[in-house]
Amino acid sequence: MQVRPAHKTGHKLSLGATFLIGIVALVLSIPAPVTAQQQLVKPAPNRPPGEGDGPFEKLIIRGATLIDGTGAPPRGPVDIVVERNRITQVVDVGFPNTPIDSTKRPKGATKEIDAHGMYVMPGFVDLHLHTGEVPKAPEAEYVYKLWMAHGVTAGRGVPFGPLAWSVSEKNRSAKNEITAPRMFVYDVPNDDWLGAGFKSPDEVRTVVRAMKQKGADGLKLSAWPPDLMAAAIDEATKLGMGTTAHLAQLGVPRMNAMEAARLGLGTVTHFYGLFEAMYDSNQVQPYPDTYNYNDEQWRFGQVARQASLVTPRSKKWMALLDTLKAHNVTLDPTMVAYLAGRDVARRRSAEWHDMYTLPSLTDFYTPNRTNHGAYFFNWTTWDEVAWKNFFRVWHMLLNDYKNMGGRVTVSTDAGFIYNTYGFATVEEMEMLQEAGFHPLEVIRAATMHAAETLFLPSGKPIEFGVVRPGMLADIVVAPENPIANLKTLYGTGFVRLNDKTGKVERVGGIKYTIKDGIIYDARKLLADVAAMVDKQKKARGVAQ
Amino acid sequence: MTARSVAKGVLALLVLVFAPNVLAAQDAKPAPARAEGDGPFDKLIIRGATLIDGTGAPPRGPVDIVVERNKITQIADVGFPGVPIDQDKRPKGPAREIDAAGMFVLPGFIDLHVHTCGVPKAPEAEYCYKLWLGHGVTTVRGVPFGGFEWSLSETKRANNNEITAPRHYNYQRIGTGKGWTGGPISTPEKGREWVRWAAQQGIHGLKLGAHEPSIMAAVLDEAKKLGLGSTAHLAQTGVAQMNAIDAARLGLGAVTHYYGLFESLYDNTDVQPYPDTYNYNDEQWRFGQVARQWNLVTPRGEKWWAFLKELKSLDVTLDPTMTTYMSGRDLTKRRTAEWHETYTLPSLWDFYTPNRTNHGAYFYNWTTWDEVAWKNFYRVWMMMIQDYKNMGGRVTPSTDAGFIYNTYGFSYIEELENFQEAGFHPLEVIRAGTLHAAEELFKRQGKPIEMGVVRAGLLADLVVAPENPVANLKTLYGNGFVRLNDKTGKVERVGGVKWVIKDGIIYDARKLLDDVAKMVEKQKKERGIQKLPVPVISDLR
Repeated sequence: MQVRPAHKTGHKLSLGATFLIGIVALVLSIPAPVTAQQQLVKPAPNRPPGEGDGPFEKLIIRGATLIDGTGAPPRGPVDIVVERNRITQVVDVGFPNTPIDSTKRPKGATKEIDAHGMYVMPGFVDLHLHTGEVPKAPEAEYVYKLWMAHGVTAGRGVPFGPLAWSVSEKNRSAKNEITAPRMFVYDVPNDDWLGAGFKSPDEVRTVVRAMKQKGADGLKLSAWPPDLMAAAIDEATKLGMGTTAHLAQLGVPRMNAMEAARLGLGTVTHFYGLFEAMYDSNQVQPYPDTYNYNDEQWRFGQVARQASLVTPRSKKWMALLDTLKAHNVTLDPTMVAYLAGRDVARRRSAEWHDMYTLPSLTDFYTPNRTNHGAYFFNWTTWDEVAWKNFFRVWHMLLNDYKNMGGRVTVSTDAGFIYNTYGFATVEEMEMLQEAGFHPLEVIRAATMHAAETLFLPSGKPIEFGVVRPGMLADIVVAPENPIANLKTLYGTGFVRLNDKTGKVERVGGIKYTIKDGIIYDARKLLADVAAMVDKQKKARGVAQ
Repeated sequence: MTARSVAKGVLALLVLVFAPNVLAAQDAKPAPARAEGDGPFDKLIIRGATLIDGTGAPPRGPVDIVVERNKITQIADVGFPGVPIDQDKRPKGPAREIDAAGMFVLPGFIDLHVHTCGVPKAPEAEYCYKLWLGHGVTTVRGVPFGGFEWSLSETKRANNNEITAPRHYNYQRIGTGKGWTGGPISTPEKGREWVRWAAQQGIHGLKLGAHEPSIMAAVLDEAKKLGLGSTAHLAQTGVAQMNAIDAARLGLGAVTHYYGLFESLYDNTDVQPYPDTYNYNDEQWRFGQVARQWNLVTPRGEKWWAFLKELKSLDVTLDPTMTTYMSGRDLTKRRTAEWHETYTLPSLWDFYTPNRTNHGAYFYNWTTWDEVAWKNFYRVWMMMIQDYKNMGGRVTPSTDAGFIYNTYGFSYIEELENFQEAGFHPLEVIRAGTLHAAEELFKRQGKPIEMGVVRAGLLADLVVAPENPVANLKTLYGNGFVRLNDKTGKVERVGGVKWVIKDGIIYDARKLLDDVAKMVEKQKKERGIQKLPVPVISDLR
């Protein structure tokens, strides 16, 4: 089994923090050692009284403009009725610029939200999450609250943490014992990133069945040897489990996105395996002679050099997209995870870091040869230009896939590379608009399409992701129009000139995040996060 | 008149508006007499450097560069990489020496689009000059620097080395000058008269707008006769009758910004199809709608190639000042640039802050839509610039700093990065900022360049940098580049410009930037602030 030598693997690993290695390896595709002893992220505390309000017998959200998540245009004013944790009515109650006839409105509310002038959307669904690590983000609460404060009401952990930990947190979240999104638990079979420890496809099947029994909802895979990959996907499919794969460079020469799609893979996450399926004049990426995968500047720098290896809208390009579409594959790009590649100074100086990024997380981001994702050892104009070019081609691919009816989703893989939880969701939405998605398509990507991806393996219809009667009450209420400006969704708000005062001011953010009929004050959740950051700063004696 | 209306007048003059009768500009305080710089020397030898000569030739070294007084007199190859230098074969002293072993020498950079500070945003010219020199800029073209007479004076002082400043090339707007008594330029003949008058005063060229065609033709013709240069910002208010190809055919020397370029090659319209509520004086409209031109043209279509070929045949320089508009594609990036806190004056910061009357402060409600439009616009614009370069056209990196979160000096390096993003190899980028920019300055008189290349016989305008700019242009930023030191395992700042040499006088670039930092610090103290003000996050309503 291929394992990185311990002295190279993790930052300050004397803690035996192999969980940390495991997680990071999953994300960034390092062969991971079998975990022996794990330093676990502290599970979220039980939800205290006053954090979250509800569910209610009859909650009515009044007067909002509705963006339902299907791609339908905004409409309003509507009153939305929620009974306990389900949406039961969406009622058109009038016309813009016309007083609402209050006699025609739904009645009998036990709780009301005045959302006149506000916008209601389905809760966002993030298909690529990890719940921190020790020491960079040692408490799950920090991560959950950043997600919830940015409207993320459901997510897929790939993985959140070790399987038993994740299943426990999932169950607590399902019962609303903790303040957290709904959790879909995906995990790597045997934590075996390369599949190198499996002696046969049958062994894989056995492990997958055991995972199902332990409560896993799906598999997070890499680019495994073809026979093992086929077995894993097939067994998962039989069991109604989902699959998502990061088709890392180490395995991609024999398992690219086209090949994985044909085996029935559900989701291709990141970009890995896509470009490799349509090179013009190569089969293996033509790496420079001194390339070393374990040198992360090489690893992440050379990714971008694929931009010129493919021809956009060529036959191979269309064949790849056709194949993905025919197999109903979801593309889950997590562009935001790579945003620093095209402009590291911008990411490093993002205005939210000082208030909302833990010092321990900042430490983790800081260039370092052993912290995964901290690969800006000597990140030059050349590297950033290469990434700008790569993003352009990647965007074109995603937009083309969307335009042929393919599902592309909004996910973040936050916690690495100056990519802080929650804020990343809104950045990813902006990236999709940059790629050519209309904001209605962006919101659909973050809601209905992501929900479909989660429910597809079970063969059941979605239970959230659209605001309509019968769905679970996972809802975002925002004071500003996200179609006019996605930037207004950032937890730090949007800086706008107030023509009355002649001064700039911050507006926007999310007002309420409703999950399972429980109303959370998004600003309050962020204040809790800021307090956690403040506390750590004080403990360290640092001001900034 | 109120201070604000003065400021408005200055800005209208400086930024973008072709303003026929502007109010008198309120100029910055002239730079103090020079207290900095070392030299010139009878003999200065820069030893052991790797040379990037500005012509596009690849780096070579080690070389010893000999400067006598203000001229380069010799470039001696003194060895081979990885082999000790044979001391006997080196140029000999007695001489002042700079040990540049392991360093890189380039021609001084040339910025063809500057304005010199101004009251109240940056009240002292010294601030601008030191930021420019601190980033290796040894020559600037003012378009204009400031008021007519003020510009003449500072130009003379700079070119005589009485002040610490880059070489000055003084371009002026037609009709300006307190000494001009001929009134507004209302006829072609009036235009010619002004050009003759201004040439006598000693200006180097004209900064034009998109003037009425008969006036444009007259002033360009007169300028040509007198050996004056010309550069034009073909603003929206006049572009419908004077786009880039129209102006080029009349003999315009340089098209600055993008104005007039896209308008020369629309597919299906002649005037830009503005939204019905567009108002030019609402700057969010003005700067927002510019970007919406990106899909009105067909890159690499018939019109595109015909246009570029004709510009080339007319020897037109494109001087895009991409850095000026960078906030359009990513406002947050620009606002949070890490140099602001140390090097941007609070008064300049105020000026940048969104406001309907400060020109360039147009981010009233700058949305994802606006930024995405600008990203698309940049893509097409960069393609045009790259195509023009590849057919042999001259494209030059310039900055138009002092507006839109675009701080002097730093923006020159940003512009170099923009050029690389557009597809230029760093050697092409450096050539653009040196040889090509110098050619643009000298072509008006049909004379050979006097600077812009490191070779014997040219003026000694040089940049000495500790890091290889071909490997990484980012190392040229005044605040350096953050790199991991593998020996310590820690990140550290490296780079910047070490020495900037203008006219044979050596300036310590770090020292110049320290002076700037002190000016910023002083203003902060006067205001009783520690940080530049931004709407605080906790004020989110």
